[in-house]
Amino acid sequence: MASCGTVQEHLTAWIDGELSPRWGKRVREHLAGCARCAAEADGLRASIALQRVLTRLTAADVDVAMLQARFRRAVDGDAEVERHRSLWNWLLRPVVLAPALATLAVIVLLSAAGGPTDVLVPLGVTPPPPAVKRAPDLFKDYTLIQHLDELRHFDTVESEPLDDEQDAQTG
Amino acid sequence: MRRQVIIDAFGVLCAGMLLAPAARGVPLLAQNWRDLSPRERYDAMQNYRRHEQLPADRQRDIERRYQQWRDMTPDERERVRQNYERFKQLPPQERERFERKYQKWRRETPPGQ
Repeated sequence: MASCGTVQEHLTAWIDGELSPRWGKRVREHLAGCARCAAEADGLRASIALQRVLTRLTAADVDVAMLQARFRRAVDGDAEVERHRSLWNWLLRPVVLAPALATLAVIVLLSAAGGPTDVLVPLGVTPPPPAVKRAPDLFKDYTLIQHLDELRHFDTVESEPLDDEQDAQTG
Repeated sequence: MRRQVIIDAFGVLCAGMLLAPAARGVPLLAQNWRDLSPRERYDAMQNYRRHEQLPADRQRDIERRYQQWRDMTPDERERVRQNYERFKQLPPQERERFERKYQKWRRETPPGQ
């Protein structure tokens, strides 16, 4: 009986029907008793069949329109990605980014300060409301003026005992 | 010549009147919005917004106190400012105590004192 190596060397020729009847019989006998070589022969036979089909294909068998459409889609997708990338690159340039960030910072600061009026008036860009212009010291010392009475009599008020403290002292 | 001496003397007198209180450390009333720093102007604007939110009778009350403040002498104003600094340095609990004392004192003291 032929060895596995010898049989596998002649498998392609056997599938193509190019072996002599004597060698063909020896290969068949071996494949009948050897599962590994039989599997090898099956795989080889399928490959050869596929190869024969492919060699028979011509341009007429290919859907050119479908291929063109797929090609166009791939190219358009790449162009779209490239367009987005270039837009981001443009936006992230320092000459565009710095003024945008500065504008954002000004808006945030103005909002935090209570609005543009509350910033522009102290800077002297906009005149103050007439009431403020008429009596600037009222609004400058507003808290003090609110408590003017108690501040005028600070020492007297400080020396005043509270009822609960008096009770604690007498009790 | 004599006229020039009078003009010079008048100038020196005016400058002295203007500078003397400042030299003594007496605070002048802020007569002009432009005299205030940007920070003071900002605080003044915030106070103006607070004042606008108050009911009319509270606004009138503060304006009456403002008139009292204006009528005070520079020395009295300086004393009040010093008391204000003392008040600001009080811890919150002490401030509350002071307010209670003031309310009690005000109830027991006739108005105008």
